[in-house]
Amino acid sequence: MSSEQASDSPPTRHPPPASRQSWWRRFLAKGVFWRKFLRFAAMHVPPWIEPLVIACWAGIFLLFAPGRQAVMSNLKRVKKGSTPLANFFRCYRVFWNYAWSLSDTMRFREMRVVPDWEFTGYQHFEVMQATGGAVLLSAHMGSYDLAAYLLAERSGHRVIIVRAPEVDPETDEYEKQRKPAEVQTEFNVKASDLAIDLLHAVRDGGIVAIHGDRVAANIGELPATLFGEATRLPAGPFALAMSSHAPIHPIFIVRTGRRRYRVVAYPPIVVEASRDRNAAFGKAMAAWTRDLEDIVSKTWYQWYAFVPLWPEAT
Amino acid sequence: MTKMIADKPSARWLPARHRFALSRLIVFAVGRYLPARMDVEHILLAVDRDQSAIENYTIAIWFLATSACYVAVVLPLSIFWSIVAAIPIAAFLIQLPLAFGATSAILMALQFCAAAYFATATGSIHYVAWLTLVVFAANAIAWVIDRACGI
Repeated sequence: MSSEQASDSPPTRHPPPASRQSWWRRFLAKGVFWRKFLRFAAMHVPPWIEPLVIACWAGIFLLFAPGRQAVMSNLKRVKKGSTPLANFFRCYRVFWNYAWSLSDTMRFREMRVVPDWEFTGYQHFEVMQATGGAVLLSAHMGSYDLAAYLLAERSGHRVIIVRAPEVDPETDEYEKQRKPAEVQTEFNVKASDLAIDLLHAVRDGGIVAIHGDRVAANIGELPATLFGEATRLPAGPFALAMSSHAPIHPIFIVRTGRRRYRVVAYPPIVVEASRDRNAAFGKAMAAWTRDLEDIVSKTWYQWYAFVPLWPEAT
Repeated sequence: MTKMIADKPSARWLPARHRFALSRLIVFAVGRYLPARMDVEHILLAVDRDQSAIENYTIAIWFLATSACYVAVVLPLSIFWSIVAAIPIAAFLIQLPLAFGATSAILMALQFCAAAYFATATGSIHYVAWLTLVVFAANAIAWVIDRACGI
């Protein structure tokens, strides 16, 4: 996105610039202090003591970070009939896995430490690697950043990650400064800003990786049914697939153990280019939610959905 | 970039995927008998000395348990409450040197010093301390064997 495009776009609900933020905000859960702390820890903590450190900090964040209630609310939908107490302990498992994923990503970024990889549905993954020009639709689980590096290295195609900007401006600035060279990262500030660039990227054989399990502010959405309840999911990946005639590859990254990840690839979803856009989107969305439900019900303990997914839960 | 081995599940037990000399020697001796199934379609294994989950979890648990024993001994509480309080205190104390940039060698040196101190103490704590000293000695001997055999 060029700076001219940004200046032409209508005003959006951005947080105030870093200079106008209160100094203490950097210590909040999404503040820049914790990113810097994580980087320090990844570079200095001996790997053999990491399980202890992660167990402690996952517990601290479980008690004090704001994401707990959202995770518990989402788990209530995923694990039907579950009790709040059971979901509290399940929530710890989510935080524990999230801490490991962050640590693994940071160790890769700073020290090039690579985990073990396993693949299931490899034929689908290989098709995407070979042909390029695809939309990689994923969810907030495992280390998606690490997977993007793996894909960029193995496929030789240009990989573009589309992600929501950080809530905290200082953290956002910090993350933008530390963007990895191998993978192009675009921050999805406003739905229309990126559309043309992404369309060109897919048509030129690039792979656009998007999360399809959470709607951020100012992003187009579609109605969906997830775990039997109505919700809204991002429309962007489906619109991009329809306009570029590219398939959507549902690919999930699952953490299976210490420094071990599994790439789970499902059969591609084709969004038919038809006049009845709603019907085409509905069909593709149904296929996507089926895959998403399948993987989340199996690996709920690493679905990093730190916002409530169902509107009535907000 | 780390070296990767494709579709060879037995590579999981390579000594090069272990950090400490004792565990390298153990997997060198028994690695061929350990399970190495190919239960997925394709795997890529990283050859990195900190890759072993078993080794890292074992060391972390041993380090915490031993440290908690030392803390429990010095706490002026009943045995039960000493043990309950010692675990979080030990977890905090272990992380304290890390905040000042302590390396793996410094942490191990601190553990060795604590073991040397408590080895002379009376009561069952000296068994814990002696076990720790035995582990250090075994690792040192394994290091010599590893070097001699080129493991």
